[in-house]
Amino acid sequence: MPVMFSYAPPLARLIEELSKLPSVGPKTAQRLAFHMLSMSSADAEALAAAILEAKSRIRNCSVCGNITETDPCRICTSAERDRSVVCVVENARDVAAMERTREFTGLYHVLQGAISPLDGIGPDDLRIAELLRRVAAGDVREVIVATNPRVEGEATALYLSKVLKPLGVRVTRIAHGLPVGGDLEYADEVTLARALEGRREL
Amino acid sequence: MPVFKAEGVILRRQTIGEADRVLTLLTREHGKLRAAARGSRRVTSRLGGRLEPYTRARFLLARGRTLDVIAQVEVVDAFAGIRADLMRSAYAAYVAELADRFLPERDRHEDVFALVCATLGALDLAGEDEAELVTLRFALHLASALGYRPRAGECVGCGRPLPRGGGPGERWAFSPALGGALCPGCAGRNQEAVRTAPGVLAMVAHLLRAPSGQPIRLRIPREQRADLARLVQAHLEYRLEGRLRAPAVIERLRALPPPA
Repeated sequence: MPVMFSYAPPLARLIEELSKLPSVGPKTAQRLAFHMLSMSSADAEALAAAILEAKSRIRNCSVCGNITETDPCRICTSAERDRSVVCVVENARDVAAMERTREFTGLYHVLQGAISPLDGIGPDDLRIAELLRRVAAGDVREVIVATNPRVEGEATALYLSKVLKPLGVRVTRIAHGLPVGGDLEYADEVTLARALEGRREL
Repeated sequence: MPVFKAEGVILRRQTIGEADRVLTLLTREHGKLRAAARGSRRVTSRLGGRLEPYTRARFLLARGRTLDVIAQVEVVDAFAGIRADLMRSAYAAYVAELADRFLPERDRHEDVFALVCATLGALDLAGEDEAELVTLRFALHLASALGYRPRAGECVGCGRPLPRGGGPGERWAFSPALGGALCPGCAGRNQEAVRTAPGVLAMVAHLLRAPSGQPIRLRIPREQRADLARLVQAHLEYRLEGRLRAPAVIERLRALPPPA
């Protein structure tokens, strides 16, 4: 009986590790592994070092929960940011998205998820207690709830308004509406209804 | 690629890959099925806003190799009232979890579909107390439709009917394993049975009879309502052979504010 072909153990191990990455199947893993083999030693070492360095030096800011190298993070310690406004988002990638707008000058608070009964995620699994502590400490006048406009994000927003309002802080929700460059004809009913609800004087 | 139409309710939504989602639908025509919504997480997706959980819609699906793919969606009812309220949306999640976990895939079950639609319709308009009763009624009716109807009106051991007027002082019990009520005499021999007041069992019997889709007029003291919820949950978890996730979160949402 012919012996089944298999790669040399070090290569097989590399392929196996790569195939653990999201949306990388066995075929892609194989292609990446062969590419890595053809890289110069310096490049390969730089890649390995970058992974290890990111892994060891990136952590969550103890104030806002955003990913950072220094704790507290650059935004939390910046003298130019408005400390009276806190924008609440679901995850660190949302902070990056908000920062790209260059419109927001306040601070952030990353919840690291959203309330989702179907997945068994309740309010105590999120960084809500930390947010309440921040608000109770003083400085904050307004909390902008920028969780995703879907069921889980809405539930989280409703919960936050319930627990934040008694603290005497202004709680606002980001607007829902039509995407720039979009087309009314193709907008869904729910979004269009929300856009109509949130219309404003010209 | 052949296409087919189905009317359904979105029970669950999971994200996969960069911008795709997999939806679990409960359809009238084909029972529960999973379908992919390509690119639906993008802001400019035409599908995005129509594919929120608990939405009832008409779908045009294309047969795929592993998963069917959603081509078009037309919303029948978005149940905006559910989304606008924290507890209603949590109870809708309970309903969706039950339907998702109790039904096998591609097994047509039109009466359960009708039950889910009627329940979401009732939840859409319900206050917090009623939302819980509507959900528990759904749980009991779902169990009945699948052959797990509990016997609450009389003792499953000896057939003794529930005492009228709540039988003050009597300690009855409910046995998930036997699927029904136990009188004080028979309850002693069943260690797993949950002790409860006859009044709570009478409520189970009432909810089993109450037609779905209609408002529930039932005034219940707080502690009895918690008992009722636990009892219904125990009955379903026993049949499911697993723990339900949504009721645990609902409990925690109720306990406002969260422990700091």
